[in-house]
Amino acid sequence: MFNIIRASLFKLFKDWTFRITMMVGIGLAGLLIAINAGIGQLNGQSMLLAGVSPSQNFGLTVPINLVVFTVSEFTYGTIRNKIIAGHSKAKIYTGLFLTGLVFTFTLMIVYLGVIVGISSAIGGFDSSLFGGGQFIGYYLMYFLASYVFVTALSVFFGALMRNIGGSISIAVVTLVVLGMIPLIITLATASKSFTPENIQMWLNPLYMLGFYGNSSSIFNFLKNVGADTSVFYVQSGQMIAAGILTPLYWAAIFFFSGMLIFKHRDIK
Amino acid sequence: MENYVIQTQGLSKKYGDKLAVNNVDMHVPQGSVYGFVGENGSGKTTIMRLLMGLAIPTSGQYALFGVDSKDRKIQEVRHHISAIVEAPSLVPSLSAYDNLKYACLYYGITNYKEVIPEALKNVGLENTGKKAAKHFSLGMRQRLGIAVLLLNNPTLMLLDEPMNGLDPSGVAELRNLIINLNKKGISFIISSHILSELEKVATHYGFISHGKLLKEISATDLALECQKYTDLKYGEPQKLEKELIALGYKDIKAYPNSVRIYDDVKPLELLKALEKKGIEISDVKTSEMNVEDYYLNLIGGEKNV
Repeated sequence: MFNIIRASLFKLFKDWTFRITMMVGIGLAGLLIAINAGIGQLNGQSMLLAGVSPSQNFGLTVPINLVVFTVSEFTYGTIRNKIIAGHSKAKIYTGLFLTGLVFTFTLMIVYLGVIVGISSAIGGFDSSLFGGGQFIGYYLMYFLASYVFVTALSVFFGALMRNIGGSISIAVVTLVVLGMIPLIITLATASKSFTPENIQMWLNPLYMLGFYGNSSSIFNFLKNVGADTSVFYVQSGQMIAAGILTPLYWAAIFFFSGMLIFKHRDIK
Repeated sequence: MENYVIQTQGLSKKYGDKLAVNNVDMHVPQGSVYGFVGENGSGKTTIMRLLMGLAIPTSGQYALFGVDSKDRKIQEVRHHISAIVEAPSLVPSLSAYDNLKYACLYYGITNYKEVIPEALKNVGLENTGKKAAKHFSLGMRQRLGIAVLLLNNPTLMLLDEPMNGLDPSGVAELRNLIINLNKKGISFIISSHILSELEKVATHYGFISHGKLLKEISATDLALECQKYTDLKYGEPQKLEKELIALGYKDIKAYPNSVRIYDDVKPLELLKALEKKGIEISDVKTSEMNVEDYYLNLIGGEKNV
């Protein structure tokens, strides 16, 4: 397993697609900084939140590049070499996923480093917005969990479709649709007998990152939190636990079903 | 009992309704160069893909070095096997060195700094520098693919059309490489359309058509079956056979309306000698089969290819 991951990381970091992705990521970070500076809302903390949605700008570069990386293993035929070399398909698939995670988090660190670093330097870092550092910890955990899901989803489509165009389209459309689900459910459930939060919490891996102004959006939730920090932590703790678990169990579903299908399919 | 590096039993592979490999029982002896001969789409590549674990058999089984394909140890056995199936699998944007380093990493070869320059030298790619593999000629890519194969010191190599894209000197180099590696004990399965080249290296053959393995034969037995012969057409073959023996021919076989001589024959002299004995031959035909003729003969002529 270690050998496969080492090899995949070597290929990933040497390949031009990774370097282009890095440049695109930095470009997007610069664009977001410029836009927020233009409207006078440049603050390190708000930029941290604004910058990491899996269904928007930076978030969409991740699945695109993961799909390119995964599909290239099939189009170059290098996946064949690994099977011929005696690695099991389960290990190879896990290797793709873990390499994808390293790729995602490397990209994220660079992107957030640029965006938070520059905006904090210019506009400062307002930590009072979230009632303390503990919440930042929670928040980071569930957006990391969301990206674990994005990685599992991208590797799943890339490995099973083995076609760059088709896999990118499906992965991106899936993420955008998931990002819109909070709004769709809120509109569809006029009756109070359905609780949009409950439905979303267990069904939508990107639940917490619904940036569409609905009542369950993390931003609205944060805005509505009163001065009572004990209530804040109880409520946020429950929501955040769900927010972390939901993408993780969806990631597990995509990962294990992807591995199972991959194991029982021929490799061209 | 002969040791087989590969043995299959009733191996079959179906794609939809099409039976690509049909109940194949294949035997590749240890230390052999097994020439795999068949027309395009006959199932050669599919069999190689099945043996390498790239495709899953619909039915039947195979064993590599005596280890059954369903045994967990099969992954361990595969560490000693290398293969180029269809085309060398390379990362186009990486240089020859980096492609080899990538392969070393997944093979778990730690001393790659010593291994790679040697491997590049062996295939004549030591001066390619940082040039990306996508800018290599087909022959260079083929040689780089072979360098990748040799990294893990395999004991069995499967080569699917390895001579494709090689110039005459490249073909000769590859042939010598195969012969030298075979002398060191490496077994090969080679599919090739260049049968004249295959004849120079193969010790055994497997002939396949429409997914069915028609025949397996050693090169020695094939040479016997393909040897040069002269057919003499004559109504009384027993009489002709006696006269030929009297004339000093030893390797003779009588058929209903002819006699076949496997000894060297000078047709004109022979006909004159027989005429003197009152035997008038109605037709003389001299034939010699090569592997291609043998294969065509086996499948019933060119129209069946």
